Amino acid sequence: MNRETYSRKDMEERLLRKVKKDIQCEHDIELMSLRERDDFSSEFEYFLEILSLGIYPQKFKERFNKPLAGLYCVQVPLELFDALGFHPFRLCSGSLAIQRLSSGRVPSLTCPIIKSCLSSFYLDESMEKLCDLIVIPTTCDWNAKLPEIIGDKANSIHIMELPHIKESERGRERWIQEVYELKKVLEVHAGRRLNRRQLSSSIKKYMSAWQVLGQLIELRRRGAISGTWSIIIANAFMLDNVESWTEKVKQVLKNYNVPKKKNNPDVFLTGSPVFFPNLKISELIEEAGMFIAGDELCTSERNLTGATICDDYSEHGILKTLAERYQLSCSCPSFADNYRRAKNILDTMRIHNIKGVIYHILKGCHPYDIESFYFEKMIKENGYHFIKIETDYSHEDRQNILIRLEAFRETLC
Amino acid sequence: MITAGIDLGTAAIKVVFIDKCNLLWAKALPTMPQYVEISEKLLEEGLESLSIREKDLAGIAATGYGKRLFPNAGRIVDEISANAAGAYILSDKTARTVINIGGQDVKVIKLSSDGKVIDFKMNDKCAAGTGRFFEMAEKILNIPVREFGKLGLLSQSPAHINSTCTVFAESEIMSLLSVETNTHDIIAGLHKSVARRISDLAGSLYLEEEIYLDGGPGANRGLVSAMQEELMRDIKVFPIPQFTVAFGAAAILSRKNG
Repeated sequence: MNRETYSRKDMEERLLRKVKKDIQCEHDIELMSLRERDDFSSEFEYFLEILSLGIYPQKFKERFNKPLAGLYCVQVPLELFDALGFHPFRLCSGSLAIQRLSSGRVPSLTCPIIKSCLSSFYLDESMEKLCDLIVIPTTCDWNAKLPEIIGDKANSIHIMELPHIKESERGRERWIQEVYELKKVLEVHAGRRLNRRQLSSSIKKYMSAWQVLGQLIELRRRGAISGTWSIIIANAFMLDNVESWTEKVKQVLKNYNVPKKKNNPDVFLTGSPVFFPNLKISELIEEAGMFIAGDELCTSERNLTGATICDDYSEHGILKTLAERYQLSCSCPSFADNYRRAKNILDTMRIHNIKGVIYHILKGCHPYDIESFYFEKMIKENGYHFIKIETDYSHEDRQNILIRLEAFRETLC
Repeated sequence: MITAGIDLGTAAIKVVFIDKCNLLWAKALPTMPQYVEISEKLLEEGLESLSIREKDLAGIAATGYGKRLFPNAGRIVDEISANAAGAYILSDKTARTVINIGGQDVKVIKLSSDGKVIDFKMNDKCAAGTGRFFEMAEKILNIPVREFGKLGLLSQSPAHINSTCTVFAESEIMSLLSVETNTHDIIAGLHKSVARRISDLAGSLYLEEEIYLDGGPGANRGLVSAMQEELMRDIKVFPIPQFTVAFGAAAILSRKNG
């Protein structure tokens, strides 16, 4: 009996050691490949350093030195956390190596992001486990079931019930109630009430971040920074302190300008999130000779949803405006009324003369997959080229994807 | 001006020599790890057969999965563009849809009236409906795949093979054999299954008339018949369907030099 127990524990420890080694290796390989790119610049080191912290949870905690609030999805108002003294960051993982730890615990066709995030709870130490609070909005079915799957492995989980129809009075009111509920939960954790002045100050910080993200997007539209580096910078925002990130992006804007290759046609990337170290789709698009002039990823250009402009500066007025911004401006396909997503993409294509859309689907990411059929029809009807790439975090389909992307490029030339 | 086209595919390596748009020589060998050596051997054989030297060639174009492995290629052409160019020329500019069944992928390509690729679909990493699928069936049934076309057409009642997964289809065939299902019916069922898979792949891609089938399995008459039934359209097959892609690569290079 003792021997069997010891053996199982030993096996678990061996698996854990192996997975940790694989995760480290996966990160190192991706970092090395990024640093070896022709368009690498020392300005990017900062963002790579931030992303590297993902596998050093203690260093992450020490660096930000505040209670940690791990968030899923872009609908959770970051400003509330900042105003109440938390370090909010997105729990999003692009690690393939870690997924072994969730095998047998979720269906095999589970969204890879969920698989990787869930696996983090089975490491002896992870950012997920260090969180003082985890907030999960019920965006997709996976997120709705995630608290149940995580079980008692997290310190504290708060669920935000996301209304799936934006353009209804009931939906808006419901979301404002959810934001109020979140405020209450945060106040309990922080041990103090929300201060209106601090909230305004936090809103200003995020406004500045949004402005520099806008300038970064403009730089990219002009072909002066690649899609992969833009995604890396935006990915780092999801983990970093908002003010530091803003300052570092300003340096990139000031110093960086590596023009895209002349013959590389512009494309627009949309669909499932792309998060470090899984940059497979953006790297393959570039390898196939295309320039990702824009994207609509919630881990990149859609990371920050816009400016919070209040008419009413009472606490209620600010919270209402904040709630509406995070709900109405979000074009996540988990919303039922999502015409804004199509309009945004078409507007960008038209204004910037982009000819093709690459629609990235992570197998198991159902909302994006469902919308892909309508998008294909709509984009083609508007005279643009469209290709859907369905994949996961694994590497064995790289060649197959590259063939399709190379041929897609030919259709744009 | 003679150019050579090499299609370094996953199932076979195909080499053609063309003079402008005229096919002079073609030969294929099964793919093995020695990609480069096999390609060079085929090239040498072609040169010898045509009584020319390598320096007399206007160039060599490489395509297929292993296209970047061949060091002497003057031009690398992606498989889909090569396939489109080859089918367009070999069909005397009439092809508007090309269905290619390769060793491990299936492509459906739509062409414009001037031979450009308008749109295409290609399977992802699943091997269902590809040459690998037939290789699997060949082993289980112990019948050479070249016999499939003839035998499948003898079936009066094709078996139901539902799985779109090669691995699961394998167990379905085993189950059918265990209840003594006629091999003709199993083969016809396989053809239907592949045809359905291709039809599903084409999906939203409206298939324009003048549909051509190429790739090695294009020579399988039973498969062509099943596809005509499933797609409810006439399907044409090139005389040597295995070489369209290599031909297209050589033609693209020839046009560039031209």
